[in-house]
Amino acid sequence: MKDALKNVLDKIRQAVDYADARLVTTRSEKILVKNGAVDSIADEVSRGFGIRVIVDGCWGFSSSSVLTEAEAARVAQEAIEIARATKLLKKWDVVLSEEEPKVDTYETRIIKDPFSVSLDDKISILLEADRIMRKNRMIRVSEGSMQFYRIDKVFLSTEGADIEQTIIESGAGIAATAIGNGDVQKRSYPASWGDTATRGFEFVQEMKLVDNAEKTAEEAAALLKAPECPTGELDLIICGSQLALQVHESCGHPTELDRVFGTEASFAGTSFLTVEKMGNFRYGSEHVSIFQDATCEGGLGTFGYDDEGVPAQRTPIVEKGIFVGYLTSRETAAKLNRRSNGCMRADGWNRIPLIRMTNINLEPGDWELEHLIRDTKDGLMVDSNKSWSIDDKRLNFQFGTEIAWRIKNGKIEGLVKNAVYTGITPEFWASCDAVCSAKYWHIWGIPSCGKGEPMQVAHVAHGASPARFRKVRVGV
Amino acid sequence: MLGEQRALEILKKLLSMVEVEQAEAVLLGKASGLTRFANSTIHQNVYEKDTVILLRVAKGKKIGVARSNLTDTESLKQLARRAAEIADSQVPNPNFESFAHSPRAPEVGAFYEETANCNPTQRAENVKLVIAEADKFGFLAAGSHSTTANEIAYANSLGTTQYHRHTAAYMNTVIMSPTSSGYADYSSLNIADFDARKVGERATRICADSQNPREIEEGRYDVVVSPEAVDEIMNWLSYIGFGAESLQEGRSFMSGRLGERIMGENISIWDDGLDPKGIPMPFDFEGVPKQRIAIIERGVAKNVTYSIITAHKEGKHSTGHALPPGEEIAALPTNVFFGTGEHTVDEMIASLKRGLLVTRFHYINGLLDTRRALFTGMTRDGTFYVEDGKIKYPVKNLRFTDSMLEAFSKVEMISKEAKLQLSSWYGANVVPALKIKDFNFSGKTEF
Ligand SMILES: [Zn+2]
Repeated sequence: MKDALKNVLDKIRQAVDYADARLVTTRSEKILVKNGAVDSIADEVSRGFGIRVIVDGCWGFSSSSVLTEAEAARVAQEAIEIARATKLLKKWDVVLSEEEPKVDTYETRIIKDPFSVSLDDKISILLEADRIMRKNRMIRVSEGSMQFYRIDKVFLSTEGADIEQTIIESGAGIAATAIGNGDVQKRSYPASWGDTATRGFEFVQEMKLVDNAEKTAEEAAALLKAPECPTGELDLIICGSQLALQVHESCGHPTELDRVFGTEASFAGTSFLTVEKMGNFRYGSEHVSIFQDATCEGGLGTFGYDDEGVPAQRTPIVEKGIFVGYLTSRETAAKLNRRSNGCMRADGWNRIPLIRMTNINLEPGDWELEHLIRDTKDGLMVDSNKSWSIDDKRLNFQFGTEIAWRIKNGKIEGLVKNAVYTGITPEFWASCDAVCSAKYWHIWGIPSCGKGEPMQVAHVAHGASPARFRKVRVGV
Repeated sequence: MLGEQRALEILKKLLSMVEVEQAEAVLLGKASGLTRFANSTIHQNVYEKDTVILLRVAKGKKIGVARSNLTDTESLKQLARRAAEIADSQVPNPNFESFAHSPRAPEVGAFYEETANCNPTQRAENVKLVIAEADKFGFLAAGSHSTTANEIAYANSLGTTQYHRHTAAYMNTVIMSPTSSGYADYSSLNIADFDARKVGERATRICADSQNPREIEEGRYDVVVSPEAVDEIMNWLSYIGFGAESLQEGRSFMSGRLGERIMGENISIWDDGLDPKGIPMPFDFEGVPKQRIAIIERGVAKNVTYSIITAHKEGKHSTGHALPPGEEIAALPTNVFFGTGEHTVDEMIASLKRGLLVTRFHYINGLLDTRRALFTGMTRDGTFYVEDGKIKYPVKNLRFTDSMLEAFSKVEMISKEAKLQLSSWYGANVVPALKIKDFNFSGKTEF
C-alpha cells in the first residue's frame, strides 16, 4: 500500500502546493480486571490511510480504510475537492516552515514485546494484585488494567519524505475503592491513570503491582477515617503524578501554538500565553524550568518523527521561570518565522495531526523530599489526581487529589481526605520555591489527553519530581 | 453506508466462522465530514469513512472480545480466531447466561439524505453565514460544523438481528471580541433544519453584550443557566450515576437511595431511545431493544440503566443500554430527557432579584465526591450580572463548586422549551434552561 500512496502523491504533485500521506496500523490490547474477575479483554486492529493536501494555500483532508490504489486516488481527489471548499473562506495562504525531507526508520527500543507475552501471564499479575486488595474488608471495588499498543506508521510527502516508524507502548495500574460511613475513597497505583511508557512488558513488571496492592488498599481504607482537608492558605508539596497533571493543564496545553492562535477557541478554548509574552513573561519562579522533549528514553510522548515528518526534539518552554517557547507545527512555526519543533501528532489514520504535547518535563531541582517536609511549617502534601478543571485560557485551575498528608512543624501529622487546591497559573508557579532532585524524578504517562474536533486522544507524558508551592488556597 | 442487507450479510458470514457456543457481532459504519473555522477562516476541513466490526464470543461463561476495521474474508477469520483465543484465556463470568434473544426493535426514522449527502461546499456556505454575523461587529468567529451518517447492525448466533441508521448535523461557534466571547450551538438529525445565520447571530449578540466584563465577588448567587450549561451537568450526572455499575458498587449518588427523594419535586429525568426529539437509537450494542427508563421521577431516584450482565447481577433484565464491550462503563442512557416547565428564559431572568445569567459551563469535573454529586467547573462565553430582573452588566468568569443534588433541589423555574444537545460520546440530551437558587461560586478568573 505504501507504493500505491507514493504513486498517488506523484500523480497529484502538480495539482497541489503540498501533500502528505500517512498509512497507519494500530493494534491494541486492553485487559480489565475487577473484583476478582476478568471484566474484559479487548483486542483491536485499526488500519487505514489519510491524505492531507494544501491547494491554493488551503487545507483539505480525507481518509479511508479501504487499502487499494484506486481508493487512494479517489481519497486524494476528495481531499483536493475539500481544499477547494476551504478556499471559499480563505483569508491567507497556509505557509509551512522549512523542513528537510527525511528518509528514515524509527522503532521504540524494547526488551520484551508485550504482544509476545501470553494473556495468562498478564492476567495472573492483575488477578493476584486484585486478590490482595480485596483481602482488606473495607475495599468494595478492586480494579486492575493493562494496555498495550503497537503503532506502525508510514509518512510520505510530496517534498520527498519517507519515514517508517513502529511505536510500542505498555501500561498498567491498579486501584482500590473503600466504601463506608456514607463515604467513598479511592486509591490507585502507580497513578490514577496507571502509568504508560514507550517501553516493553518490562515496564509493567518493574511497576511491581502485586507488591503495592496491600498498601494501595490500606490507604483507601484509611482515608475513610481521615479528617476532611482543611480550608485556607497552606504551603503545598505536590508529588510527582499530580504535579505531572498540573504541568499538563497549566503549561502543556497553554503552550500549544495552534491553541494560542485560536484554532481551539470553540472547543477547549485559547491560552493566556499570547505571543508577545514569549521571551519576557514571568511564568514561574527561578526554580521552574520546563522542556518539551520527544527524545527522552521511554517517555509516552517519545518518537522518532512527528506526523509532519519533523524529527523529535528537546526545546525549552520555560527557563528559570521565563516563558521562552511553544509547542509548534510547520504552519504555526512559520508564522513566528521559526522552524517546527516537531509536536504534530495525529490520533490514527483518520485524523489530521494537531499540535500535541510530547514529554513536557519539569526539570528536577536539588531538594531531598525529607528535607522539604522538615522545612515546611504549616503545609499539605498531595498525590494522585482525583479531579481536574481549568478555565478556557488555562488560568484558574482546581485539582482534587486522592490522598493528602497534613504537615505541621516539619512533620507529617496524618492523612486528610478530599483535598482540593486552586490557583491562577502564573501566580501559582511563581510561588514554587523548591523542586526535589533527580532521585525522585519520573516520567508519568498520560494516555488520555483530549483535543480537537473530531476529538483526538493523545498519549503524552510529563517528567516531574515533588515540588513545593507557598501559600496555596486549599479546601473548597 | 453499507445498508441493512450488506451489513447483516457481513455479520452472518463472520458468525459462521466462529466455532463456539454463542457469539454476537456489531457493525458500526460511519461517514463524517467536519469543517472547523477560527479567526473567521476555515483552518481544518476533514472527511472520514470507516467500518468497525466488534465480535464477542462466549465459550461457556468465558467471553472474548475483538474489534477490527478490516472486513475482507481473511481478516474476518483472524478476528474470529482472536476472539476465541481471548475467550480461552478468560476466567468464567458468573453473571453471564446468554447473549440477547430479542425481538426486532421498532423502527424509528432518524436518517436524512440531506445530511448524509451534505458536502464541504454546503458546510462552508453555512460557516460563511456565521462569519457574516461576526463581521457586522468586527468580531472573529471560531467553531465547527459537522455532518455525519451512522449505521449500526447487530446479529448473534441466537438469531437476533437489528439494524438502525441515523444522521446528525452539528454546529458550534464562539464569537470573540478583544474582551469577550459568545457561544451558540445547534444540533439536528436533518441539516435542512439548520439556520446557521441564527446560530451566528445569537453568539455574536452574547459576545457584543459581554464586552468589558467587570469583576464580581465569588459567593452564592441565584442563577439562570442555559440548556447548553445544563447539558454539561447532565453528561457528568449520567457518567457518574445513571449506569448500573456505579449504583451496584455503592459509588454514586443513586446508590442505596432508589425510591428516595434526592432532587426537587419539579425534576424528572428519563431516557427514551425512541423519541425522535433526541438522537433516537432503538436498541443497544447487545441487540436489546431500548426501554423507556424513568431515572429521576419528581425528584425521586427511580432507576438506572442496565446491560445484560449488570442486570443479571440483580436478577433483572437488561434495559437496552449497553455500551460497546470493552468500554470503561457497561451501560449508560444515551437519549436523555429533562422534564420541561412552564416559563420562558426571559421570565426566568425577570424573576432574578440579584443573580447571574450563565451562557455555558466549561470543563466540569464530577469526581470530587460522587455520592453528593459534588461538581466543579467554570462559566464561559458570556456571564451576566442581573439585578431586579434586568441584565446590568457582563462579569468575568467564575468557578462553581457545588453538589448537583443540592442544586437540583433548589430549581425554582424550568423553561418550557428544551434543546437538543448532541453528545460528543454517545447519543444526546434534550434539556431546558433552569433557574437555580443559591448556586455556589467558589472562585474567579481574570477574564
Ligand atoms: Zn490534555
